[in-house]
Amino acid sequence: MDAAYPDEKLMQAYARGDLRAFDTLYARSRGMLYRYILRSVADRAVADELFQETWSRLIAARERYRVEAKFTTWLLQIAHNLVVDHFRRSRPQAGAEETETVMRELDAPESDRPEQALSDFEERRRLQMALDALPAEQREAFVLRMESGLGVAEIAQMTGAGQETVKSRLRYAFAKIRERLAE
Amino acid sequence: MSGSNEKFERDFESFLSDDDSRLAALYRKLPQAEPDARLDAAVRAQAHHAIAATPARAPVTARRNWMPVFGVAAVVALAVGFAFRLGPQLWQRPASQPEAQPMAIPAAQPPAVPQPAETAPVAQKAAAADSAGTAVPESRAPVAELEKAENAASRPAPHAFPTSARAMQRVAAPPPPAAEAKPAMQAPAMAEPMRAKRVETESAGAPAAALAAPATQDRNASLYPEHWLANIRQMLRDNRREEALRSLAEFRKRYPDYRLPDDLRDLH
Repeated sequence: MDAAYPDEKLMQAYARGDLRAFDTLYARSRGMLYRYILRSVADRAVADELFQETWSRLIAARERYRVEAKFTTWLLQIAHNLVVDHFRRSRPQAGAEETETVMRELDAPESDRPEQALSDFEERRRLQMALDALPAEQREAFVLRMESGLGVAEIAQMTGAGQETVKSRLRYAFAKIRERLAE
Repeated sequence: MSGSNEKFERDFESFLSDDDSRLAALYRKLPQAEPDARLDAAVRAQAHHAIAATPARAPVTARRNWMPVFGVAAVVALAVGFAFRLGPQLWQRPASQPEAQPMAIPAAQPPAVPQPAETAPVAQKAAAADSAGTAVPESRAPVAELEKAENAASRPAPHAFPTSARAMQRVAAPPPPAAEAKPAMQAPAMAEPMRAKRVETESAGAPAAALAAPATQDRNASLYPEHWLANIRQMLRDNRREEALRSLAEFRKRYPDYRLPDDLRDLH
């Protein structure tokens, strides 16, 4: 399947029964979606569950998909709703201890130079801590911006918030993260 | 207003881009978590299963789409069968005759079959009492019923049987004492209420002449005229010409004004 083929066309092709279209679409979106969910819930088991549930709902709703809706926005909207439902059922944010656990679980191999590795590790750890410390709405806006490159209007559409609200969330998120990194 | 909004949007996008460029580099250093292979396999299997299950639903949908067509076909078949059951008198009527009087018998013409003496006064009394119609001779009963069916409720049938409850009661009144002494002649009078009931409940009942036919006459007399004629044709095909001629003569006596089909008209 052509890499330049738009997601929306792939989704329509899958709805018509083209399995290769789904495989291509899945390969394109799996990492972005999974990280969005994982950074939202900060729990790998929950992220796995919500990730699979997101695709289940997409598969079930494939025939109702309309090309007018951007595929990424639609997919993330499904995930967003599931994340919100998850937070409604449990406590809203992960604690510092859980954040450390996630960092240990998700940590990548260190660089070759120990001092550089320590510096990089510290910087990533601070970013992760800053992200975890953000209110859920601000963190979500930030992750959507970073992971998916969504604009303000798309984030507003996806989360159901107004565009001005989304801008405020992004401003606060950037400001708090910068402040945390400068410490 | 819109110009300031656009400038604000540009500034904000610039702010995001500046922060994006700096933070995005750091963000990309975060662990790029991905779903494991087991999760990938589960999702793909689910997607493939959903598509594989879709063709199985297609015939069901097609069958559902055809259900109204089958329903209409069943109704049409039922209507055609009903028409065959009731219609021979209608569609075998000669086209040359006017619709309103296909087999009409002049009122002054005497009935071909002698009327039982006991029944005529009863019928006349009923006719006189019932303003909706007049009694007809036995041999005219099929004609009257046919006309009644054709005319529906638009106009009163000139030779229709009395159908009001009062008239029925009068027709069904106990026969005079003379009838008790002649049970064989009682049959027509006994048939009156039966015929009247059938006229009420069916659009095309058995011919009144058939109901009134004595048992000693041609057994085909109990049939509709068209069925009777069909049996005559069958007799001819079976080389029972004499029997067919007798039956035809009986038919002519019973239905003197019936326009015979070409193949039987000149048969003597």
